[in-house]
Amino acid sequence: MKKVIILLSIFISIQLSAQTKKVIDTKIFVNGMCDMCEDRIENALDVKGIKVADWDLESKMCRIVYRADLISEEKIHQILADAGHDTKKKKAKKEVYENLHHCCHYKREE
Amino acid sequence: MKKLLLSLLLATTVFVAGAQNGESKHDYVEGHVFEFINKDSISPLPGVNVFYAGTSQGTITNKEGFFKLDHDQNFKQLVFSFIGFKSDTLEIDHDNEINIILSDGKILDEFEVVFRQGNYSFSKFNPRDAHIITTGELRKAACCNLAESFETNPSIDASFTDAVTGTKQIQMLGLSGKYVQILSGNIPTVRGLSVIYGLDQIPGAWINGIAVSKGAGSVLNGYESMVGQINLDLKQPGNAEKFHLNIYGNQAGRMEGNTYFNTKVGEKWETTFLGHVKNQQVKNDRNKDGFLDNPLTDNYIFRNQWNYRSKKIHMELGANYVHSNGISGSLSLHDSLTPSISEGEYKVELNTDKISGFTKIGYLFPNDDFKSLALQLSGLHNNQTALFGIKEYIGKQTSGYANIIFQQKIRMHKHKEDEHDQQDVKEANNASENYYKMGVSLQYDNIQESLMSYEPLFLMNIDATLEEIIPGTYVEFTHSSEKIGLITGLRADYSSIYGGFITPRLHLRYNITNETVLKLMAGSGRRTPMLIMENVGLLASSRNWLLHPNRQNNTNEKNPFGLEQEISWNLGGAFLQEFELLYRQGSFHADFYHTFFQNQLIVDLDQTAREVHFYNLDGISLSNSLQLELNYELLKRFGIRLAYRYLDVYKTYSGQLREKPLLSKHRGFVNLAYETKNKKDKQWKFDITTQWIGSQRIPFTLDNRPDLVLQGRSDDYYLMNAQITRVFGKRLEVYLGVENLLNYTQQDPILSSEDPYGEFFESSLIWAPVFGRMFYGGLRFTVGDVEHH
Repeated sequence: MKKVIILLSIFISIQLSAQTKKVIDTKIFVNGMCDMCEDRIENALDVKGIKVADWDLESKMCRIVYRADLISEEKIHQILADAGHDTKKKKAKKEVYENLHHCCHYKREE
Repeated sequence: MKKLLLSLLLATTVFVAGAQNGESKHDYVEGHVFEFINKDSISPLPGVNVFYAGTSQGTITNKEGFFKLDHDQNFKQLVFSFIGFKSDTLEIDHDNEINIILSDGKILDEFEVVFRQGNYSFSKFNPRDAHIITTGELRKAACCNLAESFETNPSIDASFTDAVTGTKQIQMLGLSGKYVQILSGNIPTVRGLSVIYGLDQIPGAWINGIAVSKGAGSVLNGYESMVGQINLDLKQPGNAEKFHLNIYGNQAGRMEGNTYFNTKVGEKWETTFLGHVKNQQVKNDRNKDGFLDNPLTDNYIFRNQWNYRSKKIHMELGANYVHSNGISGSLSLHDSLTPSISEGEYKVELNTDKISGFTKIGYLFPNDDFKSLALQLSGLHNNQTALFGIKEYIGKQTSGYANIIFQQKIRMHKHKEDEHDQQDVKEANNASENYYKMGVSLQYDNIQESLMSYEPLFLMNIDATLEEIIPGTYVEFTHSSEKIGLITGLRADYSSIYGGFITPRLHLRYNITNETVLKLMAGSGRRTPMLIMENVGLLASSRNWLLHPNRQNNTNEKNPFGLEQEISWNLGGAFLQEFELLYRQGSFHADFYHTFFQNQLIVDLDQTAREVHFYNLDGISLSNSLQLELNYELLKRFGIRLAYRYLDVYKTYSGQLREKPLLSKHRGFVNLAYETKNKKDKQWKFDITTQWIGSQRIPFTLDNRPDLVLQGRSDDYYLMNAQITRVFGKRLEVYLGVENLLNYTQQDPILSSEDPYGEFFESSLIWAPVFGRMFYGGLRFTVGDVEHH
C-alpha cells in the first residue's frame, strides 16, 4: 500500500515537472459524424506531445491539450487531415475521404 | 459491451449543433436511436418506432438504430416509441441528423451527459449506488464464469465453500452471496437450490455486462435483494455479434469452450444460440494431501433466445439447460468405481441438471404514449445431487414466477385536452420527469431436500419439502431531474409459510454539482433460507449437523426445518466525485452501509469443532461496510484503481457476540491497466491486480487433536493476478494470464486428510487459495460487430 502511494506521488511529480513546459489547452473544429469518426480522430491524435484528445460528436469540437515544444498546431491539423477529417485549416485529400467507412462520410465544407 | 466510443454532448436542443454546416434542406429526416446503458456506454437500439406525431407515417429503426423518413413540412414532431416503454416526442426544427439516446423510452435530453470511453463506471444519474462492468472489464481476467467475474472489482469478493469442490461463492458488504439478488434481464435467477452452484453455471463469455448495485434494490424484482443486486445482461439478439468463440485452457488441465451466434429470422424475429463446454480430466494434487486440488468436471450449458419486435409488441423467449458433473475427493479414485471406504477413499460428486425458461412481453398502448404494460414469466426445474463421502444429498426444485408491470408517466402540466399542445410536451421533456410503476407478482417454489448419512451418529437425516406460494403487489414512484432523483417503492407480499409482510425501499440522489453526487438509500429485504444447500460445503467435514440444539428459540411450524424467514434492514450512503487533474480524468467513490438482521439463519461453528449448529437468530447480527475507491488515468492509456474496504460483521452465536468467521476486516486493492496505442485495430493490453487480504477469524478448533488445532486468526496475504492480451484486429485476440502469481496457498487446507471418515476430518475452513500459481491462456474470435455501423 505504501509503495503504491510512493509510486503515485512519483508519477504526479513527474507530471508536475512536465508542467514547466508550455501546455496548450484548446478546442478546434474537426469534421466528422459518427462514433467511428470519434474513434478515428482520437486514435489519430494519440501521439507524442498530445496529452488529451476528446472529440465531441454534437459540436464537432475536439478538445486538445498538447505540449507546444513537442508538437505544433500545424502538425495536429495535418494529422487530422491525413486521417480523413477536415479541420478549418487543413482539408483531407479526396481519396482519403472517399476511403472512409460509408457511415463516416460527413458533409464537407467548401 | 463492445466499447462504443460515442462522445455526445446532449444539450436541451439536441440538434441545434453543427452550426458550421450550411442550411441546405434534406428531403428526408434521418438519424440514430441509441439505448442508454450507463453514462459510459450506449448501444444502438433497433425496433424503435419513429413516426410523425398524430399520424401513422413512420418507420422502425434497423439493427444499427438507424432510421430514415421522408421529410414532411406539415409535421413538426417526431415520436419515438419503443415497445415495453413509454414514448417520447421531439420537435423537428433542424435538418441535421437526429441522434438520440433513449433511457426507459425517454429521450435523455435534460442532462448534459458527456459519454467517454471506459469500461467501468459509477452511475451518476441512477439514484441507486450502481456501477456497470462491461465486456471490456470482464476481459481483463479470463473469468470463466460469473463467480470468477469479479476479480477486478473491489465491491465483491469471492470465497471458497470448501477445499474439496473448489466452488467459489461471492460476498458483498461482508455478507454471503445468498443475500444478493441475482437477476438476468431483470428476472430473478440463481435462487433456491442454485444459491451456491448457480454462479458457476453462467459462463463469463456469455456476459455482455453486469450492473452491480449495493443496498436493497427495486421492489419490482421482489423482496429478496437484501444487501445488493446484480443484474446480468447476457448475449442476446440486439447485443450479440454474429459469431463468437472463446477457447480457454489452464495449467491445471481445465479446458473450456464458449460460443454464441446470432441471426435474423424473417423481418421480426432474431435469435441467439449460446453454448458452453467445460472439461477437466487432469488430476492435480500439489499440496500432497491425497486429495484432488480441482474437481474433474464435465459440463454442458446451452441457451437459446428469440426476440420478436413489431410496432405494438416486443417479446423475448428463452430457454437454458445446464448439465454439470464434478468429481473430487481422494486422488486414488477411479471415476467409474465406487470408492473403497474401508481403504479410506473419499469421493465427492456433484450433479446438476437444470432446465429453465422465460418470456418477456412488452405492450405499448397505441393511443397513449405515456403508458406501457410488461409481463415477465419464468420457470425452472432443477435436480441437484451431491455426495460427500457417505453423506448423500438430493435436492429438487420446481419454481414458477410471474410479474406484471404497468408503467404510467405522470404529466406535470395538465392543460386542457389539447392534443397538439407543444408546450406541454416540451416542458415534460425539459424539467423533471415523474412516473410510477405498479404491478402484481406471483412466486411459486417447491423445494425438496433430503440428506442421508450412513454414519451411524449423524443426526440430520432429513427429507423435507418446502412449498411456498407468494403473491405480491407493489408500487414504485420515480422522480428524476438534473439535480435530484428519487425512487421510492413499497411492496406487500403474502407468503404461504410466513404470512403477510411489507417491504419498503427508498433511494435518493442529489447532484451537488455536475461532478459531485450524493446518494442515500434504505430498505428492507427478506428471503427463505435453504438450510442444506446453502451450507453444502460443510458436508465436506465430519461435523455433525444439529438443528436448534438446546431448544434454541421457537421454531416455525410451517417451515419443515423450523426456520424463520430471514429479515434484514439496510441503510447506506454513497459519495461520488469526478475530477480532472493534470488533464486526466479520475473519480473518487466512497460508500458506507449498515445492515442489520431482524432474523437470520445462524450457522454456528464455534461451539465445538465436532458440530455445526443451525438456529434462528437470537440477538444481534449486523454488518458495517466502508469502501473507498479512486480511479485515475495516470498516463495516457494507463489507468490505476485503488480501493480499500473495511468490514465489521458481528453475529450473536449462542448468546455471545462474535466476529463473523473467515472474513477479512481489511482489504486493499490495486489494479493497473495499460493499453498500447491502437494501430489499425492492433493493440496490446496489460492488466495486473493485487489484493491485500487481511487477517480472518478462524472458528473454534480447540477440541481437535492437538496437531489439528488452528490458531485463532489467519495471517494476512497478498493475491496477484495478471493478464496480457494481444488484439490482432477486430476478429481475433489472444490472452495469457496468471492467477495467484505470488503462489500463496493455505497450509493444509484439509484437516485430517489422511482419515476422511475419522472424527477430525474438516475441509470447510478455507481462508486462502488452495491451488497456487496457475497460468492460463486462450483466444477470442469474433465475427461481425453489433455496435458499429
